Amino acid sequence: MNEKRSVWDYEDIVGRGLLEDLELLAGNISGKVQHVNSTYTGGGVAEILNSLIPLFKGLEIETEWNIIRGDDEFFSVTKSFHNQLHGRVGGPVDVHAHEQVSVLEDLEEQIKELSMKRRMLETYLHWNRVNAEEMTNDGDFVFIHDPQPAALIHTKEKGHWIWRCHIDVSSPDPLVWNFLRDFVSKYDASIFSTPLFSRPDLGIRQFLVPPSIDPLSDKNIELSPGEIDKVLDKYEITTDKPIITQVSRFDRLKDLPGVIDAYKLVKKRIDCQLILAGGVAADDPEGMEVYREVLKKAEGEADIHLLLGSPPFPDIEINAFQRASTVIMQKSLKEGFGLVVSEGLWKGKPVIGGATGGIPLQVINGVTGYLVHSVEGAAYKIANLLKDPELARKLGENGREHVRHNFLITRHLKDYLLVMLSLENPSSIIRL
Amino acid sequence: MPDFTFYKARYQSELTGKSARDISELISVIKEVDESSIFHHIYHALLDYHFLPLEYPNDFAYWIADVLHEPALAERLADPDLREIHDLEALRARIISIIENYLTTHDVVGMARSGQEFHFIKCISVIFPTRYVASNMGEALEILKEIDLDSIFYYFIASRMLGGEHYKALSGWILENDRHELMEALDNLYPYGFANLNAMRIEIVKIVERYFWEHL
Repeated sequence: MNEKRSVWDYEDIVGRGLLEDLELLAGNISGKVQHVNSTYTGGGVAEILNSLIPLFKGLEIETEWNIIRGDDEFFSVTKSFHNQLHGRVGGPVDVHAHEQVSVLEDLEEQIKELSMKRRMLETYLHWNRVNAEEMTNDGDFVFIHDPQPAALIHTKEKGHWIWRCHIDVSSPDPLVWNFLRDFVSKYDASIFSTPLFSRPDLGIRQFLVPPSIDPLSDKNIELSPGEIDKVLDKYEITTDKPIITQVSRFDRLKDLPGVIDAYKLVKKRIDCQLILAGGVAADDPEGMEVYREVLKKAEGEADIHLLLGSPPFPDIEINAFQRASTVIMQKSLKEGFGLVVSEGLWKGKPVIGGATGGIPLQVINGVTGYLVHSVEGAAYKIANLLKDPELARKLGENGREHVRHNFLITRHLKDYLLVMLSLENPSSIIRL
Repeated sequence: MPDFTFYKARYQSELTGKSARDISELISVIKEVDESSIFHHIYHALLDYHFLPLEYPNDFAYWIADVLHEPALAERLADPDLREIHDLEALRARIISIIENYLTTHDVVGMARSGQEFHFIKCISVIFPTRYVASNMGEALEILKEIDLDSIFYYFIASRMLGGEHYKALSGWILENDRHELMEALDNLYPYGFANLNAMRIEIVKIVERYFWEHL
C-alpha cells in the first residue's frame, strides 16, 4: 500500500487544532514505522490499518505494512487462540490459580486435549518461524497486531516493539495465555483498547488506545438519498416503515434470536421492519448453523430482511443499511469493542446495545442510545425511539458528537504518535 | 513587550497496573501511585467532551458513588476545595485526608464486582508550542478567545499542577507591564467549579476584558 492521505482531508470533521497537532507530533518522530498483522482485508484490524497507514505516510513518516502468511491449519489454530483468549463468560481468571485446577475428570481426555493443544502451539511456532525468516522487521517502531504474529518478537534486533492487542484478554484460557505471555512480555510495550481488556501480569508498559472508525471510508462516508435508495432497491427494502437494523456476523454471541424477539414484541404495537445483515466467516462452521436457526426463527415474517453477505457486503451497502435505519441494534451477549456501534452513532442513529465489552463506552445510556439486558428491555427502548422521533434524533446527534470526540481515526493516529514519542522518551512529561 | 508563544499539551493514557476493589485498596493505591495518575483521575474529565454537566467531576468520586454506593463520600470528593492546592502532592494529601476523615465516622463496605474495579491510569503529557504568538495583551486576549480548549486546560490547570513552567511564563509576561491585579484575578480563578472548559474560557476572557475596561 503506497498511497498517502492528507490529514487535512478531515478538517471539516475534526477542525484545525488536532490536525496541526498531528503534523507537529509527526515532525518529532524519526525513523520507520512498521505494522504487522495477518490480513490486508476483512476484520476490524485490517479496516483500521487501511485507513491509518496512508495517514502515517501523509505525515511523511516512512511506514510499511506487512502481513504474515500461513496455511489453513495455522489460521485455524490462531482462530482457536482468538476464541480461547477472548474473554470467557464469567469474568477474569486467575491464571496461576487456574493452572492447578483440572477441568476434565477423565485423564485420557485431558491427555488428548493437551496433546491437541501441543500440536496447535507447534503449528503456531512453525509459521511464526517461517514468517520470521521471510520478513524484514527493521522498523524503529514495530506494531505487531494481535496474537497471530506475536512470536515474531524473537527476531527483534532494533527499535521499539509494541504488541497491539485488539481483543479482550482479561479472562483467557490459562494455557493459551501463558504460552502467549512468554512472547508478549518481551515487547517494549503493549496497547489495549480499554483497561477492561488488559491483564495485570504482563510486566511491560500498557498504553490505552481505543479503536476508531474512519469517517471518510466507504463504510462511513456520507451518502446521498439516491445512493441509499439504490442499495435498498437491490434488496427489495422499502422505506414506508421505520427500519431497525443490526449488522453483525451470524454468531450466537450477537443474540440475533433476541433481536428478532424484541422486534416481534414491538411489531405488535408499531408497524416496522428489521434488517439483519451479516456474514459468516469461511472458517466458522457454526456461523452457517446460526444463520439457519435465525432463518427459521424469521420464517413467516415478511418484514424481517435477513441478509447473508456471501461474499461479504460491500462497505457502501452496510453504510446504506445503517443510514436508512431509525434505530441501530447491537444486542450482543458478549462483545469485543464493537466498533459497529460507533458506525451507527456516527450516522446520527441512536444505538440500543447489550451492556457488554466496549459497547458501554460508546452507548452512554440515555444520551447516545440505551444499554439493555433483556429482550423486553430492548423492545421497550425500540418502541420509545420509534414513537418519539425527536428523542431518536437527539440521541443520534449526541452519538455523532461522542464519536467525533472519541472514536475517529484522527484521534487514533494522535494516540499512536504519542505512544511512539513516549517510547523514545520514557518520562511522564515530554517537551517538544 | 517580547512576543509570547502559547503552548498546549496532549495526553496519552497508560495503565499503572494497579487497581482497587474497595475503599481500603483505593486509598492504599492513592498513597503510592505516580502523581500523574492523581492528576489524570482528578482532571481528565474536564478535558473530555460532555453532553451534560458531570454529576461528579473526578473519577474517584464517580467510582465511589457508582460502584461503592457511598454518595456522601463521593460528594465530598467532588468538591475538595483545591483553591490553595498548587501541586500534585498536596492534591494527593487532600484526597487522602477527605477519605480518611470520612472513614473515621462511616463504614464503607462496598466492593467492586469483577469488571468494575478502579483501574489507576497515569498520563504522559507531551507539551509543545502552538502557532499562536501574542506581542501585546490585546492580541493575547484575542488568542484566548479562539485558541484550542487544550491550551486553556494546559495553562490554567495542567501547567499550574505539573510544575507551573508555562503558567509562570504567562504570569511573568503579564507582570512585565505591571498588571498585577490582572494576574491576581487569574491566579484566583478556581477551575474546578466550571461545568466545562469552554465555560472556563469565557470566565478568563471576562477577567481580561474587565481589566482592560477598568484600566485602559
